[in-house]
Amino acid sequence: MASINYHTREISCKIVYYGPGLSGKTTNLQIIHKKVPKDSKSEMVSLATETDRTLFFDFLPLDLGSIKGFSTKFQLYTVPGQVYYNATRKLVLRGVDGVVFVADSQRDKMPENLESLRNLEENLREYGIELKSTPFVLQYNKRDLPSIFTVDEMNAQINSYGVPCFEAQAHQGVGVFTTLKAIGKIVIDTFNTKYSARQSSRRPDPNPSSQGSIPAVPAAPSLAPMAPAPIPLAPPPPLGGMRMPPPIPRPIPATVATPAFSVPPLQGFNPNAAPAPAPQGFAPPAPQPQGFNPNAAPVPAPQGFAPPTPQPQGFNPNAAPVPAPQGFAPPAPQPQGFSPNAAPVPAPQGFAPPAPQPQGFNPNAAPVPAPQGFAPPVPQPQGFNPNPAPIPAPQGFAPPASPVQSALVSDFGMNLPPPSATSVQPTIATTGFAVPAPASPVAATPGLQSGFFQAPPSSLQAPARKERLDGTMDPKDLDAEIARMEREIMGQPSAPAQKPAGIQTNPNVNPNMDTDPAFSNAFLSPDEIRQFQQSPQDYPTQRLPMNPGNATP
Amino acid sequence: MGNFILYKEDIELLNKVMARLLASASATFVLLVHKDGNLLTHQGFTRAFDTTSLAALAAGSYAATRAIAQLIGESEFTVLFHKGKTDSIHISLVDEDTIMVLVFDDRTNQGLVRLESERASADIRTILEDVRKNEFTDLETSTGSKPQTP
Repeated sequence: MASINYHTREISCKIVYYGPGLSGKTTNLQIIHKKVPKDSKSEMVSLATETDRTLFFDFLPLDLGSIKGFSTKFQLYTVPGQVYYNATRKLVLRGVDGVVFVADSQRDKMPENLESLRNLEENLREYGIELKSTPFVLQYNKRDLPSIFTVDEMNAQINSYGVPCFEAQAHQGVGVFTTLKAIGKIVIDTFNTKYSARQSSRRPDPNPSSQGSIPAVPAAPSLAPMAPAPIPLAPPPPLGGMRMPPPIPRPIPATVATPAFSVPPLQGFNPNAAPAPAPQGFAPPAPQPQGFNPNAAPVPAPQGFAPPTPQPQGFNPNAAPVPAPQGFAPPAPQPQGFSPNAAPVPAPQGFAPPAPQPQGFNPNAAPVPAPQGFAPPVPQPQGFNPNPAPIPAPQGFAPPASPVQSALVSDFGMNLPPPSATSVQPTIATTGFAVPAPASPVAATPGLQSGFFQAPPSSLQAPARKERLDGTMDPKDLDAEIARMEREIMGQPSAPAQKPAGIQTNPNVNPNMDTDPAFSNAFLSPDEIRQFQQSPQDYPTQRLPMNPGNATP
Repeated sequence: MGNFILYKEDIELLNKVMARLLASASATFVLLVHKDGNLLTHQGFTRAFDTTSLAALAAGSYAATRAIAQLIGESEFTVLFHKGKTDSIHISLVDEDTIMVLVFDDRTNQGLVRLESERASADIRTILEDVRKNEFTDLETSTGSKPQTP
């Protein structure tokens, strides 16, 4: 379950790498951890046995850039693959937003793959999640080994949902980032679809013509007649290195199908990404009649996914492999993933990628030439749409905006330290307590700082008592005491003891009853305590009046 | 399962309750963690610590303990306590989706921490009930504050 924090402007998603034992899940995370820039990752936590087998889970928090000013925090988890760790696997799957199934391509490992996949479905079902409605990609790992199944054979056996699948050699880092990009994109797309639908149902668009349809892009008149279609599920978008299974031999559920149109894929951020072969049967997304590359077009996000309704362009995602229409540039094999900007297709006039493509993780990526006639993307009527700004790479990560800080400052009247690079960390001092920076928690007790418990200045001039409340000697009187003892030893009569004035009570039991003028002001009287408890000020034992709905802090 | 949507007002309320808890229990820092492992908010001296990993591990630890509880016929344990030489961790259940992780040292005692965290949990629970009713607003136009509902 993703969580959105509007205050710190963060979106957190949980992605779980699942698969049989020794298929390379932890290796995937290790490679990601190794290659991602330092400012977008934290330390990787690995709960492993002495032989480096995952015992509980591996955990890697990752920043994948920002969407509309919100930073995306992906939390990557792996599960222990061994069969007998199922209880642990189930725990890790709680609240999952996307699943990567890492399958072992070796011929003798197929039964384990199938067993693990079945186990994944069972475990998800216990949380009330269906695998086919969850963002899910497959990674066929260990492609460098001999005696492996071909991709088609693998697809035939374990890709019954027709989800995107990727070849990988996780140990060398090949295909690792392609997989991560794909699942990240699908998770964000699902998120987008879910919330655009929810938002549009809550606040209907005043302009019904744009409701549920593609907003007409001025520079692309051919997109306007696209059939409006309200949609249940985000399509798995075609991405670099992705192989869609051929649609004919396997039954593909209606909810998961080839996307009707594409979104701008991310720039490759894996230096070792496998070349993206254009597989047979790869249905070109949204064939456009004018010879422009659909992936480079600022096509707005699919508001969900079009069921196989007849498109004006005659493109049916479930149909048999459609020959690429005239003028459509099929994604050519490229060394660094399927990149629209690098494709040698001449961009049509006035067309441009919707947002500057972040260079991402790929240090080798060629600089994207600024397109001519850049047309800014049309504002989306339906809110959260990552497609005009695909997940930027961590280099583009912007820290939470300063308004967050200033709001804090204004609300609490406190001067916060300058915002840290990655997060807002209001200290305890922001909450109205007069505790600027409690070095010691004991000293931080608000009552001690609030002035009520402090002796008034008059007590300072009062004669010092000889004994402390607990009977120990006040060091100030040590000299006098030594003199008194000396006199006693010498047989001289000691000076008569000073009898404290007032009623003799044990001050340790109830200090408020001590009528000694030196101490009577040092503590609150019962009346004062009562008054203080009734006052709206902060008091350690007073409960906070709760009215969260209308609370104005 | 719906998503967890937190606005500025929610975070401020939660932070206020948690800061009060910190002061009254004399703890070092406190984290509010979703059982999925997401860190919702935190208060106290967290700068020196990797709170994200701490949250994920605490959630994992809690989940594992829950599995143990089920083995002995309990649905779940509401309090988890890890004692260290100087620093200790008190993990308590706030509601069905949320746990609170309180880190304290030997300058306070476990009884006080436990008492105060129970008090604070009641307040946090009230706030989180309200958080569950939060609805999504457009990220781009959002100011971070809860949208005004007519």
